[in-house]
Amino acid sequence: MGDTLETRTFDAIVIGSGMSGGWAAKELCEKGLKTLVLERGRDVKHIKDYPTTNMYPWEFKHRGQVPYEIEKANPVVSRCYAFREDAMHFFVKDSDHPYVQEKPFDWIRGYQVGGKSIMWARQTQRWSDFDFEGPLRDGFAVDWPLRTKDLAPWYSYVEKFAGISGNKDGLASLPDGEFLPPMELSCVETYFKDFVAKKYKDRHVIYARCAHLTEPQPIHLEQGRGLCQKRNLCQRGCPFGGYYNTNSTTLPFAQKTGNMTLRPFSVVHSVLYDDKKGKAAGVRVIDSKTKETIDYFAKVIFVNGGALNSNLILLNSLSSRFPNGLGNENGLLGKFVAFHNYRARISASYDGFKEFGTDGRRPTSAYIPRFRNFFKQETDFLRGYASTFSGGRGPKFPDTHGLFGESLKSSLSGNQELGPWFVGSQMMGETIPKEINHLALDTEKKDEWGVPLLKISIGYDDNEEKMIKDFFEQMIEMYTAAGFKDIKTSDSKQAPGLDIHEMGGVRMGNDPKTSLLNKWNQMHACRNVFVTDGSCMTSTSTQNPSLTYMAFTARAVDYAVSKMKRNEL
Amino acid sequence: MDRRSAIRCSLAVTAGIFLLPSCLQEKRKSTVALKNLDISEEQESLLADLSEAIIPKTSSPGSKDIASHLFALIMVDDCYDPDRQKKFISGLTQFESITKAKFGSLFAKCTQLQKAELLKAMESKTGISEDALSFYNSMKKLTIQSFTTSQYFLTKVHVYELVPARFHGCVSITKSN
Repeated sequence: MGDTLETRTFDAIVIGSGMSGGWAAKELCEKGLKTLVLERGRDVKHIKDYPTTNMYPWEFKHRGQVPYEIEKANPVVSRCYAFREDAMHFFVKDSDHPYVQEKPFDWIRGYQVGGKSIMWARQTQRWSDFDFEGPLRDGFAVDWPLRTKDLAPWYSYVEKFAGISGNKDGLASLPDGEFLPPMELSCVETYFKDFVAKKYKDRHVIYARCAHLTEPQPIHLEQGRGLCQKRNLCQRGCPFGGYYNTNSTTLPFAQKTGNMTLRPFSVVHSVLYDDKKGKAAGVRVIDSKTKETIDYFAKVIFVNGGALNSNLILLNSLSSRFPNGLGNENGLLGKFVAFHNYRARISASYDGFKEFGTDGRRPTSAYIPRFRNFFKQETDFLRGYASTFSGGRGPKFPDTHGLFGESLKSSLSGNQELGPWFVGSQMMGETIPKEINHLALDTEKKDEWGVPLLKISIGYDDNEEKMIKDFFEQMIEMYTAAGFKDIKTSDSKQAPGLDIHEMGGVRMGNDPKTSLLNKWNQMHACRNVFVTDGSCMTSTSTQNPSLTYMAFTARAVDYAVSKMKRNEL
Repeated sequence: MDRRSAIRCSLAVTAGIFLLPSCLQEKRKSTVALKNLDISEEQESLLADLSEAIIPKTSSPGSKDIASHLFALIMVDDCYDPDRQKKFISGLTQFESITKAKFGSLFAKCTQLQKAELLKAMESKTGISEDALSFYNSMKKLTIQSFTTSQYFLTKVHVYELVPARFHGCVSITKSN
């Protein structure tokens, strides 16, 4: 195979093949650009490389539990709810990819083709102008350089392709999307939904919107995907393609154009900047297996390495023009990083619906959009929180105290009595991006590929604590009024990062003095570099962010390519 | 000395190999590969018999049929931390001592009635050492887990559906469910 400058030159390079990278690959390839897609991990082909997807419980050596030695060696990733025997092969081990915690931060990563789109929780919501106008109204971060009307057509575009299930609720707080039918709510969820609608003017319990095919459309059948089978084993990868991930959806479409070159085992060291030409020239790759350095070149670069990794790459991209990281003229690269506050939970039981239960399983439940400080500031903390709401009923595990032998066996084998209805909610709170919450490169420690370790300095503040208190108060009030009993609240005190919604550091804004990217996700100071993953987020609002990353990506590619066609990049 | 060791030793003698004292005391290792635990064949037999006493074969499979004791060993070996593993082994030893003290023989050689009496004592918790109780409770928990997640149980008793293909959120419960 001839390795020449020509074979290493492309029209476009995409760094990362996860949630947003997959979209960049598809859009660029479909628009005719020869695109190199760099993934630092191994390839994962849809279905073929989902080793546990069809395994029964008894086929797991430890019935799902993670062995002690692995837990001990990987305390960070072991905290992730999805790091279990059936999916842990998709998560990065702490020991393989160290980083520096200046404050406690659980950095959860998935380094393979598809990234975390394999294991994500598939919840998707659009942003409204109440979200985009947050920073401006409430006086934090900087004004977003766009509004809902700019992104709405792109939300539609990605939703139709991905397949999003939901109900058109007509809420100002959460714009409706292109929906496939919603999944059923349980008795108690419907009850709570109606109760809240009657009691509160501006609070709503809705069908959770999620990336599942409840009614595959022609495009989904063309993708080779089918109806979601309600297995709720999504983190393994789905043999039915019932949920959206890169591996089943965007990447194969990029592949079939014939324009994609996928290169796994490619650690990106930096983006190369041509000081003479005044633009990015390409990307420096360290082969993860051979440790060989290889430079690739392209006219446009899309940085989709995942929020913190994209920051790391840009911070490590040094040149005469940019001694502090690519595009970092204002010194703000790596700063104003934020996340979602996931610490608060509430649970209770409900005495009603004794003659009813659920049948089957499902991969989602209900959702309560943000209602605090929504139309105006009304509490002693800024912004607000969305929340899950889930109500279910399962078999009661028999009381085996004192039992052994035949009596134990029959008690375990007998007809299963149903336990009470249980309900629960988890808070998803917006956090305010602050300059002190930042990333930097370690000046001494490097990883095994010669890339400096990332130093993460992100912490909670008073706003988060007040928000948790308010969540408990409001939810206790709502739960009590609805007749839920044995109400228990808990604060997990988990470190930032375990939400797996870290964002920012390469924020968008109108002013190059206070932001890194313009309204097109284009670097102010380096016009052929686009950043469309979580690192671009100027604020976090309360939505699950992946859908927004997809929309940003498709829109930015469209803009980039139109500029390229006019030789304006 | 069990029969197999006796045969091996006598073969060694026949072959003219000097009979080493260690041959007489040799304990066979467990049948499942363990990384952290050191379990003898005898101890493994105890676990098998104890599991069987906890969930026995009836007209349907019991613990020995599905090798629950091996599952238990794997879980203790792989998923327990070192302190808990030590406690498990110490509890196992104490359990055998209690059995010997009570009935003058190994658990394996006890009658059904004697085994039941022993387990009843474990369940009542009175006068049993902490480690022995902890060992018994661990074995009970692991035996139950092995049974209720076994292929037999999940295909014949409480059927597990890998592909439910449905979710109905509010269905009337009938007697047949």
